[in-house]
Amino acid sequence: MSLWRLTWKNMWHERSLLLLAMSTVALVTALLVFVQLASDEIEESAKRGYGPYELVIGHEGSPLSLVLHTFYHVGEPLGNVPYEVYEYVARSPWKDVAYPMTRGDSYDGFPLIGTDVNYFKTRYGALAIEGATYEQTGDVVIGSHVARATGLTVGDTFYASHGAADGHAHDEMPFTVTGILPPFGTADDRALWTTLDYAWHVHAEESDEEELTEGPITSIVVVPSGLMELQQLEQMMNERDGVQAVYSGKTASELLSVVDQGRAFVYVVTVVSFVIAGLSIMLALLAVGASRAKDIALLRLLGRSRSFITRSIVLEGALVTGIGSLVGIVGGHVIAAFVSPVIYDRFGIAIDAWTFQPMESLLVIGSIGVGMLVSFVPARRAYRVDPLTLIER
Amino acid sequence: MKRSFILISFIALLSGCQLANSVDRPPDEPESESVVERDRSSERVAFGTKAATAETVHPITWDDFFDGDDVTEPSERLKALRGETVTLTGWMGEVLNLGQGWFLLIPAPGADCPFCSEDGQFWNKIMIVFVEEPSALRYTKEQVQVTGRIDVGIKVDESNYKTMFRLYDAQFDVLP
Repeated sequence: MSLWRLTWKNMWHERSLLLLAMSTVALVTALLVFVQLASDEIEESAKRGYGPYELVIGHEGSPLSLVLHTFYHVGEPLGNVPYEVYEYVARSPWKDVAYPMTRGDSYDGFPLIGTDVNYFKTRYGALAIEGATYEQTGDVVIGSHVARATGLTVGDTFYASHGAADGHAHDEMPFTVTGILPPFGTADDRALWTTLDYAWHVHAEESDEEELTEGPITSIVVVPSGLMELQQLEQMMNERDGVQAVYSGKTASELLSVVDQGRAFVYVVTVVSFVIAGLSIMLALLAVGASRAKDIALLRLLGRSRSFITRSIVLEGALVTGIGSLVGIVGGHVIAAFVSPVIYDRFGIAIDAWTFQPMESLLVIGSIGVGMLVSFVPARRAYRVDPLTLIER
Repeated sequence: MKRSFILISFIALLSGCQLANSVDRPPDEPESESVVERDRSSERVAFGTKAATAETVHPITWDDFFDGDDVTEPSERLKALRGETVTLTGWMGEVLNLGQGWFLLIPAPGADCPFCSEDGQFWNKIMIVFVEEPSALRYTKEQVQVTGRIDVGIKVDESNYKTMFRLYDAQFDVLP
């Protein structure tokens, strides 16, 4: 009987035990793959998350909070700045373009953002929009993910609710969807977009029809005219009371540093889990070996060498971990595929479940190495089996 | 038996190390190849630890940026070093772009831009550094040493901003 046949038969005979051991390896591998996929996507989306808007200005407070709610549409803004702040920026020589944004209401958990329609052109270039962009108060274009999740289409009307998801609905002002944006691959897919003045109208005290041209601004996103000018503007804005100006890139970097630490921690946990998985393989092989002592003795009597026996056990270890890690890698991607729509809905992070990384082949090779390593103890035991014990019994 | 054990442990260890290395980590310790001799008294050329490729690394300082008080164009020394590999220490300015992989290097730490003024364009001692590995770029408050290919002269560069001093394919090491 060849080495492979013997090994395979042995494994099949003890399949329940070995399947259990295999699943520990699969679980750890899947965890590692999933964490890697998620953190890669977080890194990517943080990097491209703010487009050319190197500076963002808003109400004073946490810079991270300002960047998060302005560009990633996560969290709620805590205040506004007077319209006059935007006018100052618009008049200044330090900006190339600057767009004011208002935010306060939402629909079905997705934020409703009021801004200049050219925001999209500056960030994404020419727009291939389905329908038309908004022109008058009450018109809305929706991000591609919002369209998918809510089922809204061009022509639909809805009412926004105040604040986040389940606030009271404003009955006075219906919104009409005039267009659906193409997918951008950024958090902007998860928002609804309308004219700058919507929040002023919605919260106006009387239902007057007059045009509101000024009101409080939630954020101002700026493309500076130069690097010196960028720093000049940041300084000037930060000197004002109640206002903060934040470098988008630096804040994104700080966010990523936090993610790095989380990732490092998870890697440590994974290494420990690998050790545990390896030990469980050793345990399984030892348990299996004890019951096979007679078979081994018989094989030795039939002329098989010691090294044949030990090679078979080492091969068993390698197969258990090899198959386990392969299953784990596939499993990690499958889990990512299932979980990613949920994560995208809540955090705006779109995990690309089916990118395979070079790290993964190393993972399989490493697992096989570990499997062979831990099979040495049971292999040594088998090595020592004296065929004469069979006769003695 | 023993030999194969040693061999296989070695392979497993190697894979483990490869795995650890392939995982992206920001450089928060100085890398081993950061030693460059600097002699301020003369313009002697020094060799970096990339001596295997016989590449000369020219150390420069912030005083080398301009000739005297004329800040309208770069110094002659830096103009002559165009395309060469130079090394310089400084601090990260607060402006950086992770996606495009660049940051601003400034002579002194701190959030204030001490050289900014309101009169039009004022070129000061600022160098934009395009890093070799954008995925490893993170903002740090520590002093950094950068090594890369220098270019000088006012132009709109790959960042879409006008700059006077640029460093390409740069490695940056955080100094302790």
